[in-house]
Amino acid sequence: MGALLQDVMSGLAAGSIYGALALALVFVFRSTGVVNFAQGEMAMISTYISLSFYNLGVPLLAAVVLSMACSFLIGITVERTLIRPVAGRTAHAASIVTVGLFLAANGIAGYVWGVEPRGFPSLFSRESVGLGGARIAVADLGALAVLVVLVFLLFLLFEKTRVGLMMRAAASQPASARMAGAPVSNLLMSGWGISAAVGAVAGALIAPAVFVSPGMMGPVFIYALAAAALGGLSSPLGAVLGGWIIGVAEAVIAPRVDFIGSQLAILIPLTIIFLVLLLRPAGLLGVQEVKRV
Amino acid sequence: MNVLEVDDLSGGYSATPVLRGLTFSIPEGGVVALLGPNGAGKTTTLRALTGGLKRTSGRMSFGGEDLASIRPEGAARLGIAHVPEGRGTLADLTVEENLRVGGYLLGRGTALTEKLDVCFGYFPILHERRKQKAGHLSGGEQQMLAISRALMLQPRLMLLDEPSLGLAPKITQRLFETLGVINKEQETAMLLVEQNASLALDLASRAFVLESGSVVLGGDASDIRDDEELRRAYLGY
Ligand SMILES: Nc1ncnc2c1ncn2[C@@H]1O[C@H](COP(=O)(O)OP(=O)(O)OP(=O)(O)O)[C@@H](O)[C@H]1O
Ligand SMILES: [Mg+2]
Repeated sequence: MGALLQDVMSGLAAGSIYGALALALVFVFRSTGVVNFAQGEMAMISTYISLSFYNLGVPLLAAVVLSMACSFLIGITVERTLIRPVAGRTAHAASIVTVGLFLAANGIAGYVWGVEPRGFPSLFSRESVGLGGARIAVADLGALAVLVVLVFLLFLLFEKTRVGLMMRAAASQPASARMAGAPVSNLLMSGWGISAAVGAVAGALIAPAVFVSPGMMGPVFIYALAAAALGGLSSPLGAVLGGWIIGVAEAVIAPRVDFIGSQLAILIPLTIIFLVLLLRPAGLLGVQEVKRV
Repeated sequence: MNVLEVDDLSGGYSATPVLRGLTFSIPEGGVVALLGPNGAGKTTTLRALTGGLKRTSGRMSFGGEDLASIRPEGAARLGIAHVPEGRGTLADLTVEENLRVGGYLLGRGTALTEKLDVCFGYFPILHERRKQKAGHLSGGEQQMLAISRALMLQPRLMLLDEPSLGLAPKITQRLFETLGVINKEQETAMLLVEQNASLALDLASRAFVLESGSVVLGGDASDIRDDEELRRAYLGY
């Protein structure tokens, strides 16, 4: 019982990190209809930026917040210089540009910071607390808490603020939003900025466990993409649920089913996604288009 | 005094021109019907006024402002509201959210809530349904929403592209009555594109018939309505 609870908790913690990056993906997808394959690599750059501030003597939390601000600027620059020129050409042109960005970000990070893995301090204490016979790491609880706060803030932004409303309008019907006088291109640009800032949080959460290197976000991104697909790509809540389901399934099943082991663990999320999408093509919480003529 | 003047306008989407030397005007606060067969360029004319067209020659001016390089956002700021073909409502937003999007330029203040109440006054059903997704409304309700969303701009000119399309005759009748009231109370000029010519001629004070991108007939709506020969020749009824 204690072991199970422990695995569930560490699964939730890992799932929270996948969920955070999945949120970034969903944010871009919802505000521009593009799947950003470079989301993980942008988060990797953000993590190097956090580390650079920290090494300059900035306290860790402040370093991450500063990196979020820089990431916002990087996000809007990427949208303005790389995405906007191709957006609207063909449906997938922008997504393909992000694949190029993936490779470029990798190369740039290696050039600027080197490929040697570097340590990254944890935002949380290394201790653990007892809970029902299990030892739960404070860092795991922290990751969970950060994700819950992040989701709540994004929910408030989208559902309760004027700018969030206009972002939703700009994403779903840019022509209509323009006719209402809305600055559609600036709204789309901010969507990229916000998701890059969210990615910086995901990077800071995962970095202590995987070290900082140009390839650090690769597996995390695959899991995040899976979480977003599972949740329905356009639903923030779905992204979070997707992350948790995948994280917990992996942490609980892998040590209990002998032949899976650590090598095949990645098959678990893939199997789950396959099954869910077979039954619900729009994902768990994705909305089927409502339209009536 | 004309709110809109279009003079010898030509242009189109790419190689083939759609509008060929189009000339017409709309008096301040007036309702003008733009009639004509399918493919004549009526929708294209409305798009031209909100910046969706390659103009090759001619002039457009709105309240004295040149519309030569107008963009949709700019048209909204000048007070031109477009109710497009197919309504352009946001299906996955609620009715009230749709209206708030339409009222973007009003900011956050009381002007926004006042305008919401004005819309709900004209279309009480929208108030009842304000928390529902626009995609779940009936066709008539969606058209009411599209018109209300345009009203939120406090427009000096409203461009309406076939508001009767797909609606039952009774609903169309009521919608046009309300359009008449809006025109009087809000002093909003209207450019009304319609397949249902008789309905449009009842509401409008002036009318133009478009064929292959130019005006082939223009005059007082009542003159055209009362002249059976003209009607037969140009409007087919
Ligand atoms: N987006 C577009 N790209 C290229 N050509 C277009 C486009 N939209 C319309 N056209 C062409 O322009 C011409 C005029 O079309 P328009 O839609 O303005 O006609 P309309 O008078 O509104 O007709 P309807 O009564 O069918 O709505 C048509 O020949 C049409 O094929
Ligand atoms: Mg048309």
